[in-house]
Amino acid sequence: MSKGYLGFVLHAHLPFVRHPEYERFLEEDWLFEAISETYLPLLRMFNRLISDGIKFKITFSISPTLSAMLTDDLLMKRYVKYVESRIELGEKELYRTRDTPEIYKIAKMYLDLFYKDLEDFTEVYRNNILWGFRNLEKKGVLEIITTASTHAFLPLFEEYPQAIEAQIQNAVISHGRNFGTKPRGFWLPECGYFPGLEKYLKANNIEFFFVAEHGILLSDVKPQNGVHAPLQLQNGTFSFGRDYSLTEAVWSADSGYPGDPVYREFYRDIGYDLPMDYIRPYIHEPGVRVNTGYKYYAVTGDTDDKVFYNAETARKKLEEHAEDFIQKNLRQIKKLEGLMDRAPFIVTPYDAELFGHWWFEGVSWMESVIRKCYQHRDELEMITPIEYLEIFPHNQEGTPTFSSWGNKGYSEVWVDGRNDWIYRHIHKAIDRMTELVYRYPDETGLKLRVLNQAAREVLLCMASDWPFIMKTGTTVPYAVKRIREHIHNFNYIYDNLRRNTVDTGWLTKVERKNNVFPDLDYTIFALPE
Amino acid sequence: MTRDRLFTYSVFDLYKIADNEGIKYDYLNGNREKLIEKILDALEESEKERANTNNDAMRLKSKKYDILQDCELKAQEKQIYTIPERYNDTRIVLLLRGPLWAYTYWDINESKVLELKDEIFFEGFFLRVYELGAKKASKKESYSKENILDYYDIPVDENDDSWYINLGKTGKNFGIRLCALVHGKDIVLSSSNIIKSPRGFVVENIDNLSNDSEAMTMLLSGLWDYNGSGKNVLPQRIISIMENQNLSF
Repeated sequence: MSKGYLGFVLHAHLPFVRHPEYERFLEEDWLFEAISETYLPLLRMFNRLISDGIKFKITFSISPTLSAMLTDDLLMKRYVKYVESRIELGEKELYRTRDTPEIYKIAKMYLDLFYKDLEDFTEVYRNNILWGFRNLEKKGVLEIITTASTHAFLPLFEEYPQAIEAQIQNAVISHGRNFGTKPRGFWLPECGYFPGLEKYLKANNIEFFFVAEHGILLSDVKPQNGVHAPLQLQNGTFSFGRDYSLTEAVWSADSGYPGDPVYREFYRDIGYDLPMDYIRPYIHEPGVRVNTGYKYYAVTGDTDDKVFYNAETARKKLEEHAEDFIQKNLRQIKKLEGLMDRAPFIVTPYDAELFGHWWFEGVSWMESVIRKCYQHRDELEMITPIEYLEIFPHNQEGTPTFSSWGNKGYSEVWVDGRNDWIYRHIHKAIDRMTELVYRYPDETGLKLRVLNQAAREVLLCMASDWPFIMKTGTTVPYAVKRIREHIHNFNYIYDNLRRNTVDTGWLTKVERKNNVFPDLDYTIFALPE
Repeated sequence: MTRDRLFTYSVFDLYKIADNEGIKYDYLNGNREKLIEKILDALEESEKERANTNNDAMRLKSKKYDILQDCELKAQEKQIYTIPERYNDTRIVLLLRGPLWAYTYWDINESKVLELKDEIFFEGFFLRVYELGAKKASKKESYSKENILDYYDIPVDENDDSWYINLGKTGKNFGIRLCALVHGKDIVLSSSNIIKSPRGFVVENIDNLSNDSEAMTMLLSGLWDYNGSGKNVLPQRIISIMENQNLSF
């Protein structure tokens, strides 16, 4: 038995973005960038560790919307085109930078990575990288869990039990279809928890979930072990609390690892730096500059005068940072020794897309952490929540408090002056969807298609991503449009059903566009018993 | 968004950005350079405001949606989607925002509004915020006289449709009613769902632990490695607990 345990949790999620009506669509790049910069590098890294005989365990949450996109033919074909275009750009870059060795070397590094992406994606995974993750679960290194169907921030739907049930039940069904297993754990979107949520989780055979640190600290009991052991809820589910300081070691804007001057600078991309005539084929029409993935500078510091990136220097730094992370864990375990009646479990959850995408060296840092952890396994062993529960099945009983990992720890990110208008419409759509379930309890044929699409639109408008984007100001016009689209589509169906009409042409068009969860059964919006 | 990039924008697009940022530009008489300076100032201000209202987790999360460094002037999708501003029924909904704040929105049936406005003695609408005892099985029981601990009123205009409510207490049940005042009488139009503000304290007396810094450190889980300078990144709710307990970092 180890002196302490590390629960590394990665949450992979992107909202459902799919626009067959356009040749190229800007926000689809979220997915393509994540595949190239995060998901494929993670798969390569995990497989490398297995080949080297390193034993490790990661809890890996993959959202149902992300899974849906990763198994969508159109999007996956577009991803291949995306990589091919990056390869074409890379070849041009090698020629352009042939007389500048320090840039040429970096351009070659990216080009090699894109070639590897294309090979892995098309030949190893045959356009379906979910198989890669599924295979890693079979090999026993990942425990794949699920999250709410469209990543709804559940506390804002507490009064709509049918919507919460729909978000969870459909997620579990979707997980089964994609991974062939029943998920035992659940990632609460944004760690958003309210007392009572466990009822819906339990009803869907979920055994554990994660909350923010103050969810445990301010629970209805004095937590004897802080966040270093789970609380067992009355219905038998377990809540695991995030460790704040070790999560912050990666996240902190001031002192977090990714901000080190030698790491790759995210914001200096040739998509913005090179002349329009040269870069036009690789950005968006009409002349909208975007990231291309070719970034030649290091963070350097708070200056516009950046130095060129040096992969070797960055490599040495990430080794130092991995060692620092391990030492922080070990010091924490030492401090806790004797204060707990069991070995502590340190839970460090992160959004997966930050590794590789924003923090370019993040995947290599994680690999180094895993290798070092394996060396120190007598003191710090990587395990999953289920494995911790197998070692320590009896835990303090208690219920966490309403909490999230958002700013100030509650709902204010998702209910703010910039996004609060959406709830009037979403709540109304949920009420009306339930009304439709009872008005049309057993439909077939065209009406069944209409009702299932209505349910899809309701789930899609509940996504937490849109209010988040409205609040944080990244691609606001698109987020606003998405909420309006799904509410509009739902209302159109609702009004048509009241008039007993169906617009078949419109329905077919919308079904083809918003085709997430093809097996969705609209009666999922019935009120839970 | 850099100065160089703004210089590549058309005047029309610059006006559009200025409009989005709430910049008045009439007095600039089309001076492009001054307009760009104003836009840069406003963008920097917005960036700071966003940074101040988001913690590290949220700031980092926003990076995954960061595909544009320039201002997005409009969504690529051209289709216009119409949705109603309000719905023609009478309801009020209360959403919990944090230990001390809630958000409420409401709709009032149009014929009900007309009916009330036809009343000679109609004085206006108001919200009544209730602190309630236990949350009961039904709304009616929750709002029963015996279960009401306290309340206060907020006058609202006919055109208002939402409000942020300061709850004032943690760990308590709250509800809100949309009311009309007619001839000095309160008429309840709709009652909201009941919410419970989260407690802002550690349960039970922890005096026995307060002198044991290591045990307290363990209790406060994950804050062990912070010195005073790290304090500004901790959740406010945890800082206040630590301060109340005279704990040091």
